[in-house]
Amino acid sequence: MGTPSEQPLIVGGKRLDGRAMDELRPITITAGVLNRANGSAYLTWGRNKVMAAVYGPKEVFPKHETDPYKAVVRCRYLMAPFSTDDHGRSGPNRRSREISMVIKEAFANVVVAEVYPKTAIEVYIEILESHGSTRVAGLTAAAVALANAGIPMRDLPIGVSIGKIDGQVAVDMQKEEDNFGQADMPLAIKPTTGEIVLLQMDGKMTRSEFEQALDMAYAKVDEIHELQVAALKEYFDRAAVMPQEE
Amino acid sequence: MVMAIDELKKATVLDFIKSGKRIDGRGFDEYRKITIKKGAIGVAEGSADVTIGKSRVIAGVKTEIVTPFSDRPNEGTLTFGADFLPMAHETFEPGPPRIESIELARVVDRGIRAAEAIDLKSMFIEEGKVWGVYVDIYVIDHDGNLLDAAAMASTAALQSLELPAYRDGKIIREERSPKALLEVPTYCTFVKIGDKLVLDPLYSEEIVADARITFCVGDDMLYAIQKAGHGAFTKEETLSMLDRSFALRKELLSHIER
Amino acid sequence: MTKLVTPGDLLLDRPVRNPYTFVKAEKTYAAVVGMFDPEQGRFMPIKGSYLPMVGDDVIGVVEEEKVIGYGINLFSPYKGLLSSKGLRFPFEPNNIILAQVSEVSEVKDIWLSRPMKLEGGEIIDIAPTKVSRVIGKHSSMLNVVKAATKCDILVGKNGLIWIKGPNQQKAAEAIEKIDREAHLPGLTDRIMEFLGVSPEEVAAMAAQQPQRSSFEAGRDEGQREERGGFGGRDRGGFKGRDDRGPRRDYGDRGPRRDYGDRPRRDAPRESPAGTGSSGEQQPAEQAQASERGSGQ
Repeated sequence: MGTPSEQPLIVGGKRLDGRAMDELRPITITAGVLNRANGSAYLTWGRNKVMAAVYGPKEVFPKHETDPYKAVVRCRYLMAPFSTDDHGRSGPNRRSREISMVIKEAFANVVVAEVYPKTAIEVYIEILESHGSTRVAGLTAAAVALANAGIPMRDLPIGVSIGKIDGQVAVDMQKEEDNFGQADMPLAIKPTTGEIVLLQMDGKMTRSEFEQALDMAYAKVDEIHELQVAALKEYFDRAAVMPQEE
Repeated sequence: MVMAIDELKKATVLDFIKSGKRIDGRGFDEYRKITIKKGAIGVAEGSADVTIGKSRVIAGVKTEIVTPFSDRPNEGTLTFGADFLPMAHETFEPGPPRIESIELARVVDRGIRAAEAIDLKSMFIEEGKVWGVYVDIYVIDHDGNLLDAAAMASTAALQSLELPAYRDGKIIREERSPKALLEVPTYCTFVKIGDKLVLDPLYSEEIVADARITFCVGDDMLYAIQKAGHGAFTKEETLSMLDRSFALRKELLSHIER
Repeated sequence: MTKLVTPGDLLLDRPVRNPYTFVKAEKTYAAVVGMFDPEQGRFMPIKGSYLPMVGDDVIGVVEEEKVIGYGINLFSPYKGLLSSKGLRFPFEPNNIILAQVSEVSEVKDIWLSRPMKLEGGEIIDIAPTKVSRVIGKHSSMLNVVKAATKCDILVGKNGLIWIKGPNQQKAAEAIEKIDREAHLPGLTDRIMEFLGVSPEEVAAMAAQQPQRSSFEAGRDEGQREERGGFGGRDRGGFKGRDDRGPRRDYGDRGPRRDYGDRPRRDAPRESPAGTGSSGEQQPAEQAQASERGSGQ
């Protein structure tokens, strides 16, 4: 967690961007934005900008990683070098590899991998502009990209973060809150069952604050899920109406 | 070959777990035998050699003079690394770090850092110079639950930390003074097999598990959580394992603080 | 009233198993985005890779020569394999062929038989889940396009479509329109309008059409239920493939079906009623796990 901030993160009951403790930043999702990928989604979440794309089911490389009974789900989460205040280095680092893994495991839970044995399903998440809680934004976008690609899934998982700022539990950490708050907890939840498929936390929270944080996250599941569904429906209408460009 | 036997054991492990038992006779909430030997590596400024059952991890702490981070100019630095040595398991090949070792180092780091176990502010020497504390985790034998073993080794090694003296621009390693920890966090790892939640998994239990989750706690505080694996947890399961982690703390501390 | 469903949406209160749905506690849920008609119990996924089934006609590109034969690119996650045993003429890389799936191995190798080289024309691709929409009930939709454009059209279950004739571009556009608008009602009328033909003209043109080439007549029957849907599954099989007069010599077409010699028919052949080209007549119960046939 970050150093205690010099400035308060809550002023007059409101957060730095004016939100209430249980308010999400505005989210937009557009499905099917890339031409070549089998499925894709572009998502903005506050000032975060995320592009997610899916290729697959396709042949597995290297071949020895093929599973004869089901598809292997892979994920690569990456932050663009221009996505943060300071220039970042290109390519994966330890943090992005860990995030790639936990997101992959969330999708390995919902993808019906038995439908396409001996194939790979590849999920690519690029954070184009980073402003706090990018892994849950990336996961939310990638779920739409997977559905857009026609990959069979049991659910559309949503991502949301909870944190603690100036002693209060709040939903959806933006950058300053992420950096200077007292706890940060990204989660992914399956809307139809309420089960948790991604959970990380670091910081300081009492047991009751933790339970409160879980409840606040659950309260946001439907709101985010509806945006995913709306994006998939909007793509459908758009693709049906407009002629494809050659 | 050990691994082949573990693979063959899968069905047995599952049967046992389904009927509420474990192949080594433990309860679902029981740790294997834990041993901690502090100061195992004399040349290191802190060290601990930990076994949990047949898993074994050595953590060594070295200190250097470093420049502080620009946003924390008055604080020492703390860095964790983990190596899964090829000797620890047939499937560990030499080469670049496995994602599991990266994850393990990062999870141990997050818990200890969130707990503010080390008083980094007291590591300030002079402007532009602070103590850098390097904790390196060496996994040398793998029979499951490397995370708890590594966390315990790191915490015990830091607890035994003795900072060298620094005079006239030189580190004098022969002169050491102990550095107390402000907090001793404890880590508990559970796996989910079917619908059963099992503490301190054996390797053969890990390979049949659907998911794994680790809680790092203090007396009344939660410091870190890491869920892994493709399985899912309900809210109730998560809270129940958190409560069990608090309850197990006393036993774990009795080992670390010995 | 059809509605768009997304992964996790409940479809039916009873279990129906296919690659585009999943079953939980004896209920069926959508696994992909698709159009669901609760009254008819039909589900049409928007997208989906081709999952091979024995008896499917597919179109593919010869990719490589192997010791045993040829590797065929079916634009699916799984490769087609064509044994060179019994072939009278060799194929070359980049040949386009129409072939039939004769076997799907446990490791999803797709063995093909009865290959025919397709010369000239052009290939377009649509989502495999839309193939039966393009064909239509009793080939009605496909006949509209063929009659209006006077093109030969072969439809592969893997979503590849071969078009050859004087109005290839128009035919391609019509088929792509069907692919895009597959979920909207009144599609046949719209396609006829797009092609500038009326139903009467279509019937007249179809009647006038010269004897359809044997491979065409044998292969354009879209009897099989759309892959993703439930609402009746025809076991398919080989309806009238070899029994239509002089066979073109494209090399051996593999093991012959024993239909004996049958008189040729002049009129476009109707599939027997109820073989469910789009399966609307058939209740959902008939869709069962056994329909996977090839043993996966």
